[in-house]
Parts: sequence; C-alpha cells; structure tokens
Amino acid sequence: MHIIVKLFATLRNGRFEQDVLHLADGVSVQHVVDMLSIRSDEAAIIFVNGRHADPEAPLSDGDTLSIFPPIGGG
Amino acid sequence: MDRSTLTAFFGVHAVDGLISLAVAEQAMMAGGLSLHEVEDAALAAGYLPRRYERNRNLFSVEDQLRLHRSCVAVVGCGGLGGHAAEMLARCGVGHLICIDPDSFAEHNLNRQRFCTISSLGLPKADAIAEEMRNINPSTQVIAHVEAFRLNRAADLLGPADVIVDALDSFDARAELAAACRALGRPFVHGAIGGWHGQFGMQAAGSSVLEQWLGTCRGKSGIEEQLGNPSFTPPFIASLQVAGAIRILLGKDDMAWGKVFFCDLRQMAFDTGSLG
Repeated sequence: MHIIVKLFATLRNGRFEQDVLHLADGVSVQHVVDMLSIRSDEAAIIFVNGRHADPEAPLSDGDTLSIFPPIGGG
Repeated sequence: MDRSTLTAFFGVHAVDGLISLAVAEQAMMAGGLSLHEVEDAALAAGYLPRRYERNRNLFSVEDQLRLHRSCVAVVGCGGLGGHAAEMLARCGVGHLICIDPDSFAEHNLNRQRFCTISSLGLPKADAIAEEMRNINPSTQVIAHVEAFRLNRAADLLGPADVIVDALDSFDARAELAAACRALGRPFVHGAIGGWHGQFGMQAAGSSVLEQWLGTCRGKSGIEEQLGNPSFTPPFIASLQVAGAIRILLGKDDMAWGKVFFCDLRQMAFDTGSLG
C-alpha cells in the first residue's frame, strides 16, 4: 500500500517534507514512526487524514500521516 | 449621576452615536464614576466609545457591551501573553487577569511586546497592567505576580470567562487545561518555537486538549533548540485572541478540539482534529 507522510518543522531535518512510502498492508502508525527513526519524545502529535491517531492503529492504502514535533514556547 | 441622566448626557454630546474620551471624562467628573462605569452606561444606552469606531462594522454595540463586561485570563505574560493582552484590550474586553511570576530580562527584548529598555527588571504582569491603562483605560487589569499553580486555579481564574494559555512548558499547560475543564471554562492554547507555532481550543467541560497536552508532559519543545523570533508570538497570539473573541461573542466555533500548525519559513499550514 501507499502512504503519504508529511513531516513538520525540525522533523524535516535529515528526512523530507513529504514522501510517498510503499509499505506492507496494515502496518501501524508506530511502524512508520520507527522506520523514520523518530523518537517518541520528538513527536508531539500524529494525524492520519487530519485526525489524531493511536500509534497502534493500522494504516490503510492512501492514508496521509502527518507528524508534528513538540512546540512549547510562549 | 444616574443611568437616565447619563443617557440624556450622551444623547446631547454623542456625535454619530459615538462618545469621545473627553465627553466620557466629563461624565466621570460629574458622576464620580470610573471610565469603565461610564462606558458601560454608554454601551448599554446604545452609544459607542469613539475608541471602538473601527470595530463598528465588526461588532454591534451589544457585542461591544458583551466584551466590556467580559473577563479573560492571560496565563503567562511573555511573548504570547503581552500581545494577547494588548489585542484583547484594544478589542474592548473590559477585564483582564494577567498571571506571570517573572520580570523582564534582556533576552526578552527580541520579542516580548512590553519588554523595553525602561521596563527591564519590572514584573511582566505589573508592566502589562500599567501599559493597558494607556492603551485602553476602560479595561480593568488584575496582575498576579506568581506562577500558575493548580491549587490556586479557582482563585486566579474564577472570574474569567475564557482562559488564554500563554505559558512556556507542557507540564504547566496540561495543568492549566485540567483547571479549565474542572472550572468549566474554555481554554485557548497557543505555543511557539522558532518559525513554528500552534493553536487550539478546548470547549468548556471538554478535556480534549488536556489529554493531548498530558501526553506531551516532560517533552522538550523545539523552541529550546530554535529559540523564538519577534514574528511568531503575535501571529499565534492573534489566533488566540480571535478565538477568545469568538467565544465571548457566542459564535459557533470551528476550532473546538482542533490543533492548527504553522511554519512561517516554509509557509506551510495544517490543521487536525483531536476528537
């Protein structure tokens, strides 16, 4: 299956802004995060098709996965 | 001077439905009233302080009265909080509560609205209260020079209709969101880091941002690595103030339970739903 992955802010460093990944059917959100070597403390929120996703949720063909780093300044 | 005498006075002195500051000051002197009280009476009688003339096509006089009688707590008076307080006062929000334990330091000069050479060393919350008297003297500001703590939430936030999160740590933000849920107040989140910012709103009684911010406890934000420039704080503070004004005016809101992200270097904007 094909998954569109969008990375934001510092997560783009050494990776990419947006890419299409070819993956085995049914892999989880966490699988993609691990594949991209994004540590748990580097990701604050993950959306699948614009909705907050459980890391264990399986992805479907055509899903868009967006990963954002923690932003905490005021 | 009672309300009917005041209304008659406004009727004589209003120009095109507008009351100038000089006329309001005459009413203050004659009636022994504060500007806040005089403008409340003017708005209730359908007259608009001239200060809000350019709000006129955006907010009705009833809306303006509602803002005048509203209270917003700005928790954190640094980059986001200073801009938010100013914009809320210029909109005509009648009561502000500003909470921050810190004083202005040199490293705040690159972005914090009321940090100037002459305000260095002054408590931020006090400095904002003082500046508001010059920007909108009918806005009443209570300054609390202390850190927001959960055990003080009811005392600090009790009078507020809306709470603006302008803090700088995930732990404090998660506690503030929890306090808002417990007190039944809407929570307007904003955060910045480098060229990036985020904004979100939690409705009264909801815990959607509280739960998400709870998962961020202990994480370090990208601002620790990137710092913060002058232009992201007012951008995110604008989204927070627009959200707070929509809530105060009772508009249906499209932002509940959502988080908006911006990247001002790449001009990338994204919104997702937490619910």
